[in-house]
Amino acid sequence: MIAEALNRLVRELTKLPSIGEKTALRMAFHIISLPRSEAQSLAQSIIEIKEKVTLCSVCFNITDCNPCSICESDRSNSDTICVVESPAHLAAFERTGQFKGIYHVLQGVISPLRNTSPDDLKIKELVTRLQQGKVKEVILAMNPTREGETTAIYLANIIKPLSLKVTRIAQGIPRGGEIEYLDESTLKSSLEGRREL
Amino acid sequence: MPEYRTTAVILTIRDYGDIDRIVTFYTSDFGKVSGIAKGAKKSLKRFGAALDLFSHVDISFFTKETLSLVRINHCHLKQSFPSLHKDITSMSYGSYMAELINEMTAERVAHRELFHTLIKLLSLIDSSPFKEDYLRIFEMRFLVASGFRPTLTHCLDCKQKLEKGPRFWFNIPRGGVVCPSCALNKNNLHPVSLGTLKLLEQAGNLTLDKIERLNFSSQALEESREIMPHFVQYHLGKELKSLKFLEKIRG
Ligand SMILES: [Zn+2]
Ligand SMILES: [Zn+2]
Repeated sequence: MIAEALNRLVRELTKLPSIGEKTALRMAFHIISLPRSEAQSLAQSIIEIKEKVTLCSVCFNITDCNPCSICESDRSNSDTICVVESPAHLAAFERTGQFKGIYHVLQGVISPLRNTSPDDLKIKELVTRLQQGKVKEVILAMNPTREGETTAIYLANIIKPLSLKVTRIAQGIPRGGEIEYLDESTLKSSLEGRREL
Repeated sequence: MPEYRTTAVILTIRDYGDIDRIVTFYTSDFGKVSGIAKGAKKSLKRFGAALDLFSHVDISFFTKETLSLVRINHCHLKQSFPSLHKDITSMSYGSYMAELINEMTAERVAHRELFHTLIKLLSLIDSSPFKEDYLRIFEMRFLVASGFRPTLTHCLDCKQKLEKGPRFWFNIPRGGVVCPSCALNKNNLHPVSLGTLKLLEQAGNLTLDKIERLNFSSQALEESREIMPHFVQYHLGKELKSLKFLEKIRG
């Protein structure tokens, strides 16, 4: 019985990103050693976050109110939209305090290896937002990796006919980089040095 | 720990923990090798721009016999195939080749010819205009290299050479073609013309420097598209994600 419950927990934990079986097992034993109240609070917070957090219906960032606080607030550059892969990347740009525009979260990048096609991302929703005519510039801020570049070029090709300015964050971020982990000055300069596509 | 050096193509990259990445290479000297690139997610000092999908790189790595993962020491970019990602179709072509090798080859079994075929076809896709022909050529050469060469020159049943006739029939589970008189029940058989069979046969026979001369007609592309990817997946025993992607974007 113990083995069964343990296996189940390990299986669930290995579904989390970057968690291998060994790490999952270590986490599981740690959870076993916790006082009941702490284990309960961990389980409860997982359930709570699923109940409270939704995607913003405008920008698709994670939020507890809809539309999210960024979409609801008066941003001084609200005619500039920064398109990012994930809520984590949005948070990284917000931490710079540099960007006063609005965001759009694609919820992924185009990836044949993961069978993520343009239709699986929030691209139609982006185009609809752009067609409303309030946005003048689109900043494409995907990771400078093969799949990020594929996505940026694909987006540039469908946005350009809308006669908007399309820019790509600067390659101050080296290819293969990861936005989440870059220091703020690199991120700032990548915004300053963005280029038109 | 001994250090090895080789040249390779990057097949997959995934995050591991907060700062590391696990990279799968198809190497010239050791076949498929997966390794951990310590700190690759956070710092670009060591690996720079080299750790990107489908890049052609020189690598060095350490290995411990007890571990299946090697430790990537150094990775230097040789060729980045920069046009691959300028179009989602060429990107999916490159992805399909990488996925095929990743899914269908065993770890640490070297196959130099297959490695050179991969480099050659990535280069061809990278140079415009790229053609769907390259996928069919790659599949054929891949099947030959893996010992799954389909029988395209004579009938599987009566053994007659396929020389004339408007149409023959490909049987995927049996891995070859039957002539019209042997193809009584055409369920699960795919029609294929002599021209297409000859092209595929040549794709498997020509030396690498000559394969770009092959030119698939639209009929040959249509027929071979209905056969080759299915034949490959039949041997793999599962569907390839990049093929599903290709079908989706083709609409
Ligand atoms: Zn929002
Ligand atoms: Zn026959």
